[in-house]
Amino acid sequence: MKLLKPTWVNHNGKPIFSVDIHPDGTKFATGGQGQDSGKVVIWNMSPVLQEDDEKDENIPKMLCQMDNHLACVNCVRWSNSGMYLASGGDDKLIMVWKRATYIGPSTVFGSSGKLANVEQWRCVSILRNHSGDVMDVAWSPHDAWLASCSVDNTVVIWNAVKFPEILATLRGHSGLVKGLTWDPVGKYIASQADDRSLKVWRTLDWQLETSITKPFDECGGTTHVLRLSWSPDGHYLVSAHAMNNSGPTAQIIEREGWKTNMDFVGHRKAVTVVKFNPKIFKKKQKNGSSAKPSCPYCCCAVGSKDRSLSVWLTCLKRPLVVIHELFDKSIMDISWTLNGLGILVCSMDGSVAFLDFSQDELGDPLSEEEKSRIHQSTYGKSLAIMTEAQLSTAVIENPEMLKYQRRQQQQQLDQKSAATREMGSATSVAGVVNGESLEDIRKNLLKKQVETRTADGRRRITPLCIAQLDTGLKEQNLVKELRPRDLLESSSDSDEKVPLAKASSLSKRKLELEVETVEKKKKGRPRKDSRLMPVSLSVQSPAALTAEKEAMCLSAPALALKLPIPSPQRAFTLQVSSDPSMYIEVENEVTVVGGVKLSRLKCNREGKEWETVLTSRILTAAGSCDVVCVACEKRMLSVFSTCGRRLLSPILLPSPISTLHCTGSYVMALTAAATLSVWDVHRQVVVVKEESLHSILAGSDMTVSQILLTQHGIPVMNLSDGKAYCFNPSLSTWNLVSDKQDSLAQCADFRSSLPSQDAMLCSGPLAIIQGRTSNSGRQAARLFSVPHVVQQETTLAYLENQVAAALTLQSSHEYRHWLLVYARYLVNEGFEYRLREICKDLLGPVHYSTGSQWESTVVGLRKRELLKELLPVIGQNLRFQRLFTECQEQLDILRDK
Amino acid sequence: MAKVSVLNVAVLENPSPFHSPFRFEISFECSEALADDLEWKIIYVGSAESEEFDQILDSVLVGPVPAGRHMFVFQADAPNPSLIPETDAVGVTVVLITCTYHGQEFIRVGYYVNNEYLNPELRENPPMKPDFSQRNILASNPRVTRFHINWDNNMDRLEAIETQDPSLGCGLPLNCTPIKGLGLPGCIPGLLPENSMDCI
Repeated sequence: MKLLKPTWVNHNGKPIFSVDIHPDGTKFATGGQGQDSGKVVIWNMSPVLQEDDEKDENIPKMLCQMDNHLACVNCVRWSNSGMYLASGGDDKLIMVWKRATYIGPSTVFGSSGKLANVEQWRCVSILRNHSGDVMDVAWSPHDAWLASCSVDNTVVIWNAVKFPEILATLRGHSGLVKGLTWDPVGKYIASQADDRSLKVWRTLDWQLETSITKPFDECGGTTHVLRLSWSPDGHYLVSAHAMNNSGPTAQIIEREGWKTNMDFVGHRKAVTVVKFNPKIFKKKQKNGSSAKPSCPYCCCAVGSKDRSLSVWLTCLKRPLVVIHELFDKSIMDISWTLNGLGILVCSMDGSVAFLDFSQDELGDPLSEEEKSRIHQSTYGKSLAIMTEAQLSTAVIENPEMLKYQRRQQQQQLDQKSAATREMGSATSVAGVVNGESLEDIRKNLLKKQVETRTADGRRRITPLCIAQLDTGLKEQNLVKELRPRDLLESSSDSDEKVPLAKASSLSKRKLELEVETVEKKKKGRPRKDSRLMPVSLSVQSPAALTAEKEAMCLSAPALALKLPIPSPQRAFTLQVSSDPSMYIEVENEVTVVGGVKLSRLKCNREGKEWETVLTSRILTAAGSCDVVCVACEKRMLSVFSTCGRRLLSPILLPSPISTLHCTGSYVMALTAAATLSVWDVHRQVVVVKEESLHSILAGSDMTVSQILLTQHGIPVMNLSDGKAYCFNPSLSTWNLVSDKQDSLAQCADFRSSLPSQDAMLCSGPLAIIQGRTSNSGRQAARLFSVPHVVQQETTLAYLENQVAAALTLQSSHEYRHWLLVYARYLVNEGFEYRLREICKDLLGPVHYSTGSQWESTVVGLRKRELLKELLPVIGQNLRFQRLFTECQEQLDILRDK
Repeated sequence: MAKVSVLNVAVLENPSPFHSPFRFEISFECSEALADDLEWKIIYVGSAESEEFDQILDSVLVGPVPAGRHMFVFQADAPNPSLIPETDAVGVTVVLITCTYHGQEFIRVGYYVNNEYLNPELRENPPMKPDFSQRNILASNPRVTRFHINWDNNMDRLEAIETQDPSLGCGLPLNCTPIKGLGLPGCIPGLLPENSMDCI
């Protein structure tokens, strides 16, 4: 081991609170106190590693310094990709930095030239939420989340894809939270606080998994930081400052059952920081020694207030090395190089130390492949998509695949270069703006400058913008562009105020829907005609029934169902939609013509009004943009066009009406005898003919909590027990499309297969029935005890249910969504047979044959188009390159035809 | 953090006759779009002895300011010689460029200005009644003082002022009173300099 203290790494004597080495190992960041402000400095790594570089004056040591934090910086952390640097400080802020590539070295105005920043790091996001000093920040293993903790006792999880969105605020600590660590497989995040507890939180629902207090009971006094760490194999979590028999320790917490049986002992003062080596090691194979494979082990560095550092191997009972009095003051942070052989340590005394180990001392590091194999065997994390390292070794068998892969890379490159070009052209300071060189601009600036007078007569100059910032605004714009489409898609939801049947009882779901409706209205979003309309009603249990004159007898009288009948009213108004504004007015028994009482039906649509009269009292009415229908006494049902023309002679219902409903040209009538009919009045065909609800309501005291009629005329019944059935006209069956208590939904974990965060908003009848919340991994806790195979099975089953349900509901948009998610999951997990079957069905017969039963479309989508969408997904896994090729070739053949 | 940082101030037409206007080309960078205008001022220090001879040559609003790099030329008329004490007409004085946001000064750039006679004879024997001749700004040596201010809305600002250390006084100058000297941190009581780049 070599030890080095590069004296040039300093904050002019001010404390350094944090150090972090860039993932590519070429630079590192320090954070701490600056002159009157917080300070982040990015340093060149090579002068630390090589003496020659240290002496070479042409090699810069400091690359960039940022004084933007108003107060001391407590933590700096690189994202795993190395693209971003996050810093958190006493000014309650987290700043996220990104390198601005287009600007060369620059100086700070007014400073002498030697302080030039070699690299430009620009703050792209400022995350404001904490009400106190930010003590630690941590990127999740896949850079999807950034966690920060603060003296305000909270941990905040930020959406790293969409700063500054907050995904969760973890509350529960009753003291200053001073350290954070993610579990390497991303299931947990752990935090340690001054409240003498260490808490582990689940990432799937952001709830507390466990709180560990015992090892911290004796902890007195405070340390500035409590940086805990999770071992790279995920088995152990090691805390900072813990106590055992009044001696300071670093507590080892086992993932299995969160047991606290072991600790690292020996430091004389509180442990401030623990940091695991990112590598997993195995014993160095010596020549001649037995080839017995040894257990892999981890390596961990522990820093303490006692100014000493210890490095431990989990296979040894004693520390590998202890360095006493490494600094004058407490150790504040530790960072390992990615190869696991180097370590940077910083201290409150403002200096930094570098330790260099050899492989003989630590052992042979496992390759990333071996590491992921360990993860996979232990946690079953889906790693069927090969890591990049593995990909590079796989042989690409066919040129199409190769082309595809290249194209993908090329696209990425293109995007990158396009982005930089855009930036470059717009921003290169010495370059050209709108075809004018900066020099020209400067010459004419005064003449061109727009100067106006404000109301109070003051001069106002509009500055000339010479460069936009590459502050990640581009991505934000992309996100924004996506938004309106989402909204548009979701506009197919029920938008309307729902007419409530008289005896209706609002279910919870109903309430949610109403709330949604209201929210949407507030946004003032353009409204489309409602294609779906939830209606609530309840079914009285047979016992409560009193026989009525017109009651129908069902084949099984003992189980006769009776739905409530709307009572005749003098007059009522019904709003069909608000945009276009359309409402129906009913006045019963208004005109008397020759002793006959008539009822009037009025309809007003965007100011245009029509009215008509009916001979019997109108009980209930319904309308859509295409039709208006009313149900009258004497079981009569009348249907009118939007202009008031009668479309059909009155329909005689088998029993009195209970609920009437319209969507598009479909009219649904639910009778008191619990039979359901749906007609398409334009095509004048029956879709559902007097189907009994008996089969879905039988047996228990269930009630129908909600009825939907999709735009394809498919009726859906939501029941009070959380199940939802839709009637499949082609099979004449009731199909279960949703079940609130579905345990599959709670165990299924397919988040990795979701196209993007926004896609969860995929909307349609299925989403309305099942509710908008993502079921995925709700019950994260359960997942853990579930073996991976079981989880795979449940996920597959769940996804298949979803695809089938979307198909039954004829919701093409949702069908496509779930099919893609399903396919992606199959690809990720490597299920070839099912994937092949899907592809085969989508492709159909390449050569025309008369006997073929194959339909070229499914719910209005062209199957081969779907297959084309699937191909890039399949192409992601080299394992499926043959399938990819087959499909690709056959699609090409079809195209050439 | 400061939303606006000054990248450069170029002194145009320097040296120039005393009576010609001041011209500064100011480039600055803004990290987040500003809701309100920036207010820039040029202050000419008439006499080192007293503030009463300070002349605000001009103040101008600059906006709107979206995120990005911007530049503008700030032109202001020459100081009124009749307001300058005769003893201070020739020699070294100071011109200040300040910028405020929401009435809070966050940067102050100071330049030494040397007023001198071009004619060596006049230099040797200056006339009794000073004749303002040539102004030379020491453009290469700006003195920049930066101050922390609250960039957010007014409510926050009040809060920020309240939470400041009372020993420093309720320090931020809510109106920009011209202050003697070059804005060296020590010279300005009650200000919190962010970092002063003293490079002379």
